[in-house]
Amino acid sequence: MLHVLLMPLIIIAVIVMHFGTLRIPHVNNQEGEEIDFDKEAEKYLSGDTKNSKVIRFQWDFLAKDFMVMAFFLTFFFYLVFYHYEFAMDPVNFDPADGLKTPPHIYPEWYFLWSYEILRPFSKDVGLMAFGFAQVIFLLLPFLDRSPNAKPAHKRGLFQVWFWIMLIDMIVLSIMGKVPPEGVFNTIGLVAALTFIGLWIILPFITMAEKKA
Amino acid sequence: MRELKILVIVIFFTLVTYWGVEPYAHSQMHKHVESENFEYKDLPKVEKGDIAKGKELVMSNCTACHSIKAENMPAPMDPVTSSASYGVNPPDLSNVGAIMDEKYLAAFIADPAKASNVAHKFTPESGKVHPMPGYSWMPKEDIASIVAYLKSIAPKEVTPKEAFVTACGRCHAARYDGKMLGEKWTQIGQKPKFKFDKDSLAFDIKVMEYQDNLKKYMGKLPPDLSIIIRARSEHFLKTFIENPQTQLPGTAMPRVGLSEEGFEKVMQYLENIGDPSKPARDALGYKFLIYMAIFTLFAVLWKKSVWKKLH
Repeated sequence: MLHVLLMPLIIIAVIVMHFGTLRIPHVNNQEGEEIDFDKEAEKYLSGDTKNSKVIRFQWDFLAKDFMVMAFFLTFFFYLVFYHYEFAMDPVNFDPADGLKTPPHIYPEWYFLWSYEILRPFSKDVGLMAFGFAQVIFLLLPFLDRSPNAKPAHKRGLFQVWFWIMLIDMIVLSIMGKVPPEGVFNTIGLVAALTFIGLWIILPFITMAEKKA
Repeated sequence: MRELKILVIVIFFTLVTYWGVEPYAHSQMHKHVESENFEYKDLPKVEKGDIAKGKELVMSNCTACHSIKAENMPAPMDPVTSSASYGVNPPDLSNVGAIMDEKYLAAFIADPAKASNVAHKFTPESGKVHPMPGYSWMPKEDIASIVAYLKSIAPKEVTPKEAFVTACGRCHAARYDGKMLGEKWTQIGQKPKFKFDKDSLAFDIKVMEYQDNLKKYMGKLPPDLSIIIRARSEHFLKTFIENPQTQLPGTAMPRVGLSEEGFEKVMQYLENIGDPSKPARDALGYKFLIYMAIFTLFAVLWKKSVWKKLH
């Protein structure tokens, strides 16, 4: 009951809320450009669609979405038919044996980064770091003290922070899957410390941002 | 243009992540073993043998334990009794000539433990001897004649399942090999669908007795191979079957001496039971992709017509 009905309902409700809140400051754009939406919408409706900076959801947006989806589905079904094993880890096809632990255990790929934040430390420190990694992304809106609501490439140091974070997450993901031996341990530890360090400095570098 | 740039960056980082957690991570997890393409370079060449002489030698030396169904020679004992005496049921020799390498066959007849790379199990200290006696006392030409005879009786075309049964199926079960519920390959043969539970259980008891004997002989029960095709890569299976010691040092699994064609047959069988819907996917796949291509074409045309009036 909880998972087949209640959870989907909650997810649908969150999506509705998400679309609703999008209407309040209006949808953002790649350039972070300030647009007078009412004026642009009027321009569109009066027939000057070429110069208007806004488009309609139906069919302007949908037609493009449909096209991208078609490309994606073609690729997706190519994988389904000809690379069926693509997303299936071979480990999952070995029958479980309570007396034999596999030499390397690792979670699904999307959890690897947080697994690698757990792994390089001793037990208690590792658990604390792991707990930190699980909740910290939820606190992002509060740790970002910048007065600006703009894309990262218009925000100075935050852009550097963003790219280091992205690369760090990929390094963590890869290190989370390779066996914990030799140089991989060191890389994993450095990447995990970088992850924690980035979150500690985030409020300071965003506070230093000037109102643009 | 900006959108395309963003797409390229997203694809780039996706590919780097994929490469890191799949091919790269797996290359670090498993030792790399080069394949020798079933050449058995460590074994000497076999000369041409005399088929008639070989037949005589096989009748006087082999058929006391081995059946040869192709020549209407039945097994002297049923599988369970055989396993009680030998640890494992001796193979039927009808098609070994078709799926095994001839150099290997000759080397195996001369010294089974050495040829199959399991001499470490049968050291003098262990007090155990290989269930098949070695024929190293026999002249090389006679062994060559036996091999020539075995090759002469082997059928031209061996089915994937026959190859599996001879090479693997006396130690490894395949519980998904069957069209109906309850059917499966066991070490003593194919389990049919029984009408009565009593018969089904009687069969199972025989399988268990056989497995107990096999466990004593191998150290543990060899794994069921139903979905091994998904659990291991083709390269792993190839190098492992060529020489199990390279991937699992000290394993009780013998080198079985498959030739390249024999290996392909076995792989075909493993694929048939581990991924039975592959033929259906292959047959439908290209039609579906043609459909998707047309779909995409229309989607592009539609987008173009809608966006003509936009910026």
